[in-house]
Amino acid sequence: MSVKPITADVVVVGSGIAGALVATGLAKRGVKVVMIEAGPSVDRGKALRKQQESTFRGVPETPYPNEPYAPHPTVLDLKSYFVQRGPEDFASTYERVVGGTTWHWLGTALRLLPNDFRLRSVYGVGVDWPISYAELEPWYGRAEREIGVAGVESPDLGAPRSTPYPMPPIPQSYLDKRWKHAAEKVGLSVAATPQARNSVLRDGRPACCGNNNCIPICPIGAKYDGSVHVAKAEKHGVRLLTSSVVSRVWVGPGEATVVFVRPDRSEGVVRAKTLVLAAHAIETPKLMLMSNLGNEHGNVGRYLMDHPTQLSWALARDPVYPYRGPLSTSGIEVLRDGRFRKRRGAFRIEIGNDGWSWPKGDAAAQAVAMAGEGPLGKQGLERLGNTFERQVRLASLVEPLGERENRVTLAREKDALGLPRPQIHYRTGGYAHAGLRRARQLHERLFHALGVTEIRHAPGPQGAGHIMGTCRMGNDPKTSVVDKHLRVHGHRNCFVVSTAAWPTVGTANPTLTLAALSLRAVGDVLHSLRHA
Amino acid sequence: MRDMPMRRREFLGASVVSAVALAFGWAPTAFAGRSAKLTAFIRLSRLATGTHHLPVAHANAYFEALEAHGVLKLRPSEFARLARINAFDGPRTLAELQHSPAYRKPGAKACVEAIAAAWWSGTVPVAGGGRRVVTWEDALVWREVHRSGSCQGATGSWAHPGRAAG
Repeated sequence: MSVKPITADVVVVGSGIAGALVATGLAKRGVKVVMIEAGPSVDRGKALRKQQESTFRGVPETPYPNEPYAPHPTVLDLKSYFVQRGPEDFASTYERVVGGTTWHWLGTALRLLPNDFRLRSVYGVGVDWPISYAELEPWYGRAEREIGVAGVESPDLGAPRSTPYPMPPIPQSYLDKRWKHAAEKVGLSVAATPQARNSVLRDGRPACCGNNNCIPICPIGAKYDGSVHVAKAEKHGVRLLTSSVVSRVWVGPGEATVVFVRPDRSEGVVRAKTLVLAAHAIETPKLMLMSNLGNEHGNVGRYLMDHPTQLSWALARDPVYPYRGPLSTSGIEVLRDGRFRKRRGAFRIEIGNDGWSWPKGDAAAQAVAMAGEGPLGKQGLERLGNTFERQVRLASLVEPLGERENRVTLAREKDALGLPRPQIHYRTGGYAHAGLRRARQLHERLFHALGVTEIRHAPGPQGAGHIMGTCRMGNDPKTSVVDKHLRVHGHRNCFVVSTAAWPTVGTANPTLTLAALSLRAVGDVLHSLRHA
Repeated sequence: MRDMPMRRREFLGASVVSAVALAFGWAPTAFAGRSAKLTAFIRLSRLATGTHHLPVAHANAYFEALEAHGVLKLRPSEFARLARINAFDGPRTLAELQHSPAYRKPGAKACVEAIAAAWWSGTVPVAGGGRRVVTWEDALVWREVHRSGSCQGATGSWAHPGRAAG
């Protein structure tokens, strides 16, 4: 190869929250790091304008570049990038931009529960993680401080803490308070959701002022996203290569080579001692399969998971005033653990402050539909307001079990650079379906307790955007891809820092756990360098 | 027959058309006809949307989009002519409009709905399907609900009841 390689101690593939936290942590300790990102940088102002000029304003991908050289999936067309082989379409997506998918995440920052790490031991289903909650607990605390989590301790959250939240909680919405009374009627409780969103000025970012636009983009940067740590990484000397699509990697003892392709199809090479793959849970296994890395037992790409979601909505009899504040500020968390997990998936109920935006589109899109339904004129305009101020929605994020046939492979179909597109085989399993049915029943009871009309349920599970499980963590190389330190089995200098490593997924959205594991991985990567 | 006097906002809307006419060198006769059509469109829009307080700077954009070939079966200008919207004894309320013979014409109801949808949402249909955005900030829907993407106020203001529209 004639190109002059870039050299580093560590090369990180992916600049989302995981890659950026690892890169920042290493660079602070004097390690020479190159971070490679397939997509371009994001300008918040331009992204906002792009969103406002779109009629799909609530779609997670709308504000962000979707470059031919680094295409990403979109919920508007689940087959545009994924090659879906069924039996169901996999409905969750991600970004390929600097900062990654946290650009469009909700910001919920829940911890997993202790029993989420020992599902097999306690309930006889799934598998256990090779690490325990107790081992990860200090890293959860560090992650909460690093990314900035606003929260308040509550027994409902079910995860013991050794440190306080670094910020006071985001205030619950008026709508949450109405739900609190309704939940009590059916024997449940509503808890404030811990969120990676500033409740006060912190780390140079403002406090949330209720733009109600967290998905797809926080207009003011009050919500944490991966670009925060990309900036910190660069400040500490990390070299960031953007619009550089990694096409293959090679890992040997104490050395790693990464080949990347630029939009003009020219190639570049990075040589380092250690490789960190942090390209989320679809691109990471895709790259490993393209590079024949870590797949001696055929496990790479398998056990693809999401949190299948039961979405329900209704019209409250009295005004509850949604469309204000963050998109969600509370949830029902007491359903996340129990003996029922022997039979069905647990779930948490997310209470939406976003009216019917999820099922029906944003207020403008709903206004178009309502003009077609009538009435028009003054009466119609008043109807708009009366309807909007009474809209409620619930979403239960259900725990699935990993299924070996749910997987990512390499499609014959290629992208613009000639690289294989991800081929997805996916179906929602019986364990999750049982949880979805239970969630729907509970939504009905909650709606009736609140006092509503026009109850609607989405007919099938929705994607939560939580892509996990394709490079499973475990002690046995025959049944897993990475060990408890996130090292690819058989390679002491190759790490997968991604939600791909989740053996089971509990019910918490995965980002805080990913941040905790990323911070923990810094020490393991340093260790690999010392023993290179 | 005498036209209703032009209100200030209509005048502003007509002024926009004037500027465009000058820029493109339209002939005075064509311009006068166009201005009358736009005035009729604004009157029709007030009835359809339920408010007199329209952001008329966007009137021409809505009008042009809804007049475009293949978008509506009955164009707003044609419906306004049939409904005699500019006439002194033309319909003054939505109910009068909906009871007029013109409203029974094929495509009339869809035309009025499309006008309301445009102003309410800030978007217009495009020939062949889909919609495009004319304005984000000035969509009337934001008068009824807090506009997502805009700062609502102090942290926690959402803990109290109220629409916080706009």
